[in-house]
Amino acid sequence: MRALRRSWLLGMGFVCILGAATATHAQTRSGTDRPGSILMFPKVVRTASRDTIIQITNTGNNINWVHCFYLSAPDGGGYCGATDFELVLTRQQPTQWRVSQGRRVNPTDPFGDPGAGFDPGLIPPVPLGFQGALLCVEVDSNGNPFGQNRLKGEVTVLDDDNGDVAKYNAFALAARGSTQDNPLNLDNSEYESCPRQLTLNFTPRGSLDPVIEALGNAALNSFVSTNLTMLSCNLDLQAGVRSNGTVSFVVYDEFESPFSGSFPYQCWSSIDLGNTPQTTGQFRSTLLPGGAINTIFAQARLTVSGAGGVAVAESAHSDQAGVVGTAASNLHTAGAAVGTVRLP
Amino acid sequence: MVRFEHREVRMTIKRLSKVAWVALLGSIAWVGVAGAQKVSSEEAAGYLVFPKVVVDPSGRLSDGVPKDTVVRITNTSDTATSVHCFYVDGTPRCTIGGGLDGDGACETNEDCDSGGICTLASCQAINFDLNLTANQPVGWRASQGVVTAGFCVGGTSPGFPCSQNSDCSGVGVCQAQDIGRVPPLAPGIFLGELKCVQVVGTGTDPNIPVNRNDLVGNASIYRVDSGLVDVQTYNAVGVQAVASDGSAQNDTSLVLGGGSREYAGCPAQLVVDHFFDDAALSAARRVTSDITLVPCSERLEVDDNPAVHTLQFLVFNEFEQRMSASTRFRCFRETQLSRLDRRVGQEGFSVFNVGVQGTLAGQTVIRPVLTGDGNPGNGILAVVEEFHRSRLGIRSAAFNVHLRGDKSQPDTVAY
Repeated sequence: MRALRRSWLLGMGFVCILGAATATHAQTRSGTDRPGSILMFPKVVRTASRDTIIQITNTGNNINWVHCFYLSAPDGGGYCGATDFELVLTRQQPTQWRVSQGRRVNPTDPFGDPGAGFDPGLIPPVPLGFQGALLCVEVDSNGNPFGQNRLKGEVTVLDDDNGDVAKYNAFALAARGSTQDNPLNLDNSEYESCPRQLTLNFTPRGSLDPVIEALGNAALNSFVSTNLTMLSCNLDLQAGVRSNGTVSFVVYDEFESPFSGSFPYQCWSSIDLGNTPQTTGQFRSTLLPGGAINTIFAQARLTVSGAGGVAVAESAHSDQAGVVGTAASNLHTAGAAVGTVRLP
Repeated sequence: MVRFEHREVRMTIKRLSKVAWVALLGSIAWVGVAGAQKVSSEEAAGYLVFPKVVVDPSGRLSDGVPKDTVVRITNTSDTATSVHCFYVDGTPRCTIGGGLDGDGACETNEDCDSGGICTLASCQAINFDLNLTANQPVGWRASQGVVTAGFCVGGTSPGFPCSQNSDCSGVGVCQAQDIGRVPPLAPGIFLGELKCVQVVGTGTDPNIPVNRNDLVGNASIYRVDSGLVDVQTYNAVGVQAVASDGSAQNDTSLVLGGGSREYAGCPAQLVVDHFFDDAALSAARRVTSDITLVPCSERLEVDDNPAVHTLQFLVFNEFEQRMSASTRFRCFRETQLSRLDRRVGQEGFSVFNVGVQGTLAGQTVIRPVLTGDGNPGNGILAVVEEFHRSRLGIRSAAFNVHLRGDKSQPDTVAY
């Protein structure tokens, strides 16, 4: 009897530990609503009309050194160049800058000025026409990766021509321990892993917008489109080597009809869903040539090959006069993929 | 012999303690995993909270621009599911007079008849059910709800709701697809939240919660008129069920957090990065932020006297300077940041105002004050909207706030 009880207890213990290990492996704590040690801002733009404001906050009570990299969109050869800079954030310090202007170190900035506050360091501006991402990593005073898991961030994309604004949260990956080395292994051992699967709720390209049709200037001429911007979790900032992969997707409309396909991605990719050869049918309304989606609401399940990735969606809603409103949103995530970030 | 027996007893205790250690470690690991289920705005869950839904067809709230909300809910599972939802009406209403919409909705006392007060005494809930097939995404305009059982296919308005072919413009056909009925919130003004629970959907009580985590959702709030299109989107906050084996729960009371948790616990703190109100992002653009706060604990359908929640705010500017404020609310609160600690007209004196803080950006940590007995729990959730004012008018964006910690006290949602 005693032996039976003992083996039962032993068995339960092992089952619990095994279950815990499996479940822990299947989960990630990384995301857009928790602080972390690596911040990924997938979409940063500066055009003649659009500009981006970055917000980063140290949510901890210790000083936080941060090493950041602007990652340019890949050139024709697939090279993703990086420009780096360093920040020092005091306890609980928030900071912000407009990417077109960067931020200078000037302790005499007047009250209420964009430069007012403790300057976190010299932040370079990005040139006109910049498209790409921002990656920031917690480091120690010597510049070595150091996990405190105290960083959070937001991005505000402004359009100074029409006053429009869109906003999303940075994706934060937590470190598993404080002392880290280079490269940063996003493997659930050094840092948390990246998402393998992304879920996007979207309206197919070319669909009528039901609210604009009802309240605005439309007459069956409103138009919805969605841009998806993706940042790979396999980044070599030392050599600038691109990371190639494939995003396979299944799109479901409200009739539960599945439409599948795939498109390639690089270190950074921006794609107008339904407006590329790989996504024409599956992300496009039947109102447009080649479109296959008959409903206004759809979901896309994106599976990122290789190292996984993070993404942000930006939907544009226009009336028949071309007045446009945009909204950005973070994608829902699932699964785990092992990535690597190599710092210079 | 005696010595041998003594040694045997010691060995047995030793072996048993090893077994007990393994069992104990296993239990700790299991509890740890149970705690790993989370409240999040980016993972599928069994319980969704949309903190802000607004319908204002004639634009009488604030700036005169009509508002509507598009709600999207998606079943990410390969198995069909049922969903039980509640609109929780947090619209302040006049004690005397018809207010802005004839039904008493108001923003200030001036919207009420003489002697009337604009107040939110309690939040009434309106429930409805959805049936989602495998992987099905659905959406609707909150003002219109879902009152038909089909969508137009083909023609010039594909995807629009319909009951018959003549509802579809062009040569569209009305194809049956019944997701359930959602009550329309128009023609009056509605300001409140939406809560949806994944339920069993069958049997004697189809609204019993089910242990699954398959739902994702987001909401888009529109401000649209003949010359303006302004859209903002945020993700619903998902509260994951601790078990996800598809089994039914015992009752229609959801326990969030604590020792007997059925769902992940609400966060101990919310962390909001924001621009201080009236901050000038450029010479032509100033910004203010609105926050919408909703409680994690709620007695839906029967709550004439909702609990009062007290919140503490720690506000940090870019000089690392810290200030604090506090406020109270019952079942719903939507307000400009600068009006959390100051009255209308006194916003310039708020700790959330750039005129007080001097820097553009700030960080605010929001902590609910626990009342002690956990009944009700004092967890809160929130969403923040930014309003950018320029010569081109007002444009807005919404974003989810950061969540920190797991509150020690449980929250309960009962219906």
